[in-house]
Amino acid sequence: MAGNGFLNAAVSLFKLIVMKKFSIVILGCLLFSFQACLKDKLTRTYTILEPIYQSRTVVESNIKSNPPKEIQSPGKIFIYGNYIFLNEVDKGIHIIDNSNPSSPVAKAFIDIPGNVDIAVKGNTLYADMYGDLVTMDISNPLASRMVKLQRDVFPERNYTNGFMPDRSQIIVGWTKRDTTVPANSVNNRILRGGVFFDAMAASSSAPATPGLAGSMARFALVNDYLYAVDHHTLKCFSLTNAFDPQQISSVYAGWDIETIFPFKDKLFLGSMGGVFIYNISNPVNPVIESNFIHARACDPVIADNNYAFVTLRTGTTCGPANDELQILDIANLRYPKLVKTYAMNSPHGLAKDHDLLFICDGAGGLKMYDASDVTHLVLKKRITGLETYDAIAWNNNLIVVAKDGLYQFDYTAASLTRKSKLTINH
Amino acid sequence: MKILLIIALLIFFSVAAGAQHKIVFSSQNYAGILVGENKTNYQFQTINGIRYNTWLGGIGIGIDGYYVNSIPLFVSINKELFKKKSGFYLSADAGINFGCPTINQRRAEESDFDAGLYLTGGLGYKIGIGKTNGLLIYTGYSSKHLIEKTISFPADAPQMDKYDYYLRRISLKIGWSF
Repeated sequence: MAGNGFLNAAVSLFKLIVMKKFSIVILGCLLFSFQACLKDKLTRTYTILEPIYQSRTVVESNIKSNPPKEIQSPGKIFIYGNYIFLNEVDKGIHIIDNSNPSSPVAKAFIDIPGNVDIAVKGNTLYADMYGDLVTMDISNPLASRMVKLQRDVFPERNYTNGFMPDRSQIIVGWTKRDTTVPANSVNNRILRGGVFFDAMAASSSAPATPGLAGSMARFALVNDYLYAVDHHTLKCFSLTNAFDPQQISSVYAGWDIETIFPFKDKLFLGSMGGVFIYNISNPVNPVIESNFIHARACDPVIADNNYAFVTLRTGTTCGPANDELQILDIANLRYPKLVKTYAMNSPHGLAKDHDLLFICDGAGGLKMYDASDVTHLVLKKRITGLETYDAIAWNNNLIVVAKDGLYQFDYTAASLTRKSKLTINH
Repeated sequence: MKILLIIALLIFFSVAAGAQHKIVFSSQNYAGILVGENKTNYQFQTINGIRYNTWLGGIGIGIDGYYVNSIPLFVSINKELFKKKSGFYLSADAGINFGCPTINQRRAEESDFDAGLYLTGGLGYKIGIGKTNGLLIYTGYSSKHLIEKTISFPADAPQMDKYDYYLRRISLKIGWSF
């Protein structure tokens, strides 16, 4: 009996020990799994862009008037006779028949990959193709042809994250795909780590710097000379033979030069921190004269005889700025004086015809001011519902590049009336 | 859709009115901490709704300071396990989290936070005080999801990065109900 009791007690104790251990094991498993459930997770989703290449031979053979294409990403505009030349950012140039401004028609498209800038002199069109200068005969715009291509006139485009393009070929487009990867630990708020193929392209709906005349561009025509800038150099080309630009001088111009703007016998070279003023009274020998700190490479500028009108906006590569219009007295270019600042919404390009000043104010629409007294601009008309980028005003006809279309307006001192819209398809 | 919702509410209240137990307003208000892989941080919540028998259903809103400050907005359901003045209760919350980060909690100065899912489930114990009041002690598991979008480059050539935060922690709260 005593032996049975002892045995029963031993069994009971054994069961208790086993159960406790089992319970501890269960508790341990629960705690372990629970710990795993407490692990925070961070992922990063970004777009990988990969270039689509085409051989130079194929690309160059296609630089001519081709069938028209949809307008998707409008940039700079130029007027030539009854035609509007509208840059399609990074793709080429639309040729639009504007003989009836109430009903403009896209007639042809010149395929120029990497194009963001155009200029027209007589029957000759000059365009950039990444770093190359393309010269085209547009005596018949619908049958335009390339007459010359000069390589490495402009600075090579910069890409992010160490991407270097294959320069034996031409990038004609990009493929995009989203990818999600585990990011740095949740505790690490450093924005970037590691190397990945993630290139930036100046495509999508990014507008190029605007304007027919007086805005910052990569090259500028002054009489029989073409001036072009790369990061450090100001180059001068003679256009004695318009179809055959000949480089005749090259001047070291400083650091981070990106844009050029002609004004009378001066060239304004725009950099990140300001504008350098060069005197071109001797066209082949530009000489630095002074600095102009009130505008930078990103800031569209136009000027009349007395004043410069500059728009600054947030969100550009030039760094922080206020969204505003600045008016400067430039009677003495060595010492430009800020006359007045006007707050804006998101100002882009601007245009002026006599005392009428047109501001493309981004999502703020289109604004027409009486600028007869620059210290007291009077808003005469505002068109809302447009996201405007660029404008040309001449002879009471205003052409406006907006996000959703190419608009044309009739304007007088007291009225601004829309007469046509060429739709842009994104 | 609105008409259906109104009809459902009318049916609910008419049934409830005829039911043996009353529907009464109830509120739970908590303060506590959130413990996880990252630094332990604070939380505050208030849940207001209706009590019917052993069930409580309501809308909650709070402040969640874990990793990135956020404001959860959620639906909460409680079930008392025993119909006693004091006893255990189960709780489940589901809703969304609105990020309201400080500058230091952002990856970039101008990043935007999108709302993400908020889920919590746990066990609490109510110590009844007086006729309707109670001291609440709660522990549970909580997760919140937030989305941060940053533009790495200027607006003229944007590069958008999206960061998804899946934050998992233990929720410990004490509170007061009435």
